Amino acid sequence: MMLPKAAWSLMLRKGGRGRRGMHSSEGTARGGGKTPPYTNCYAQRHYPMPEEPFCTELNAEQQALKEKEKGSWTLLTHAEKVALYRLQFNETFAEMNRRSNEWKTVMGYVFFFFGFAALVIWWQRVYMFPPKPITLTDEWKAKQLQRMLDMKVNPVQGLASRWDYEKKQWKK
Amino acid sequence: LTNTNITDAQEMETTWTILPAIILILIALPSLRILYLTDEINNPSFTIKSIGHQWYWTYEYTDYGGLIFNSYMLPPLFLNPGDLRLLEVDNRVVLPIEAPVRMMITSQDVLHSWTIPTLGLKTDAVPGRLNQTTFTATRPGVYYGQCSEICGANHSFMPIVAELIP
Repeated sequence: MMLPKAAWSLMLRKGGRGRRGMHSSEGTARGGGKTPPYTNCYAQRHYPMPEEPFCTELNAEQQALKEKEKGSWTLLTHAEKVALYRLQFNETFAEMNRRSNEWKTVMGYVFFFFGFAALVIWWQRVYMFPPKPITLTDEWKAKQLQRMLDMKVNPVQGLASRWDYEKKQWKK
Repeated sequence: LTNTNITDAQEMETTWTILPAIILILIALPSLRILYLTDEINNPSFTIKSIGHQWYWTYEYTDYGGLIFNSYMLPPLFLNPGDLRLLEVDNRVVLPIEAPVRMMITSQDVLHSWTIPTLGLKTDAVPGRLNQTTFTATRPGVYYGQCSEICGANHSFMPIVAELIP
């Protein structure tokens, strides 16, 4: 068992990822469809300890390593510990929590729908809305404002209080 | 989430329910008393009945003879230039200034609400009930309000216009 560290890594990596290459790990949340031996392709931040180990069918070297694990852990080399981790878990925490570029896709869709909605609204405005009431023309609004000032609406703090009746202009 | 640090503190929970309830009662009872104390007695010299219908108002001046009329909103085509759309009516409620006025408000069919915000008035028109509000206006002019209780299709189109004359 005393192979050099690099050899362990290589053997276990091939044993692990070699077979895994076919079932490409789809990252998080592969719901149903468990295909042995890699049944736990879903590692999620809120459920980081799956019930079953990642790699359940162990070849001979891996089984030997598991036997060694039953002893004192101080006897394990770093490479062996990493290999055991990889047998147990699909991804490390760093890999599991890695960022992705998904936000760009999402924002792309969001902005696309903003644009689409804007097109729909513009079409509605042109083809569906009835004509605006006559009271919204500038001429009418001016007469309306003049009438309101003549009536002295809200003379204490509102509209008429902001109009200077002597100089016939808005107060500065 | 069943964090045990945030469960099972029944004594504190009871305290912080009962104590605010007591505080609120101590605030509410004097407040209610003050509410009725601030109801002024102003001996109105004039009484007008305002009856809400779907979707117009009827005003009855029955103190000195009988005058009853309806008040419908003016459609936009009937407006004079400078009028306020959705606010003008054909017959305004004409009231005197500097005289306490009593409005008795009720409804013929569904709930309405008679309001003139500038005069600080809003009273619900409840069918089968007479509500009363009193006011004394000091400034002449034309005051607008709109029905303030949802009453059907034309709820937004039954305004109230009071013309206060010296």
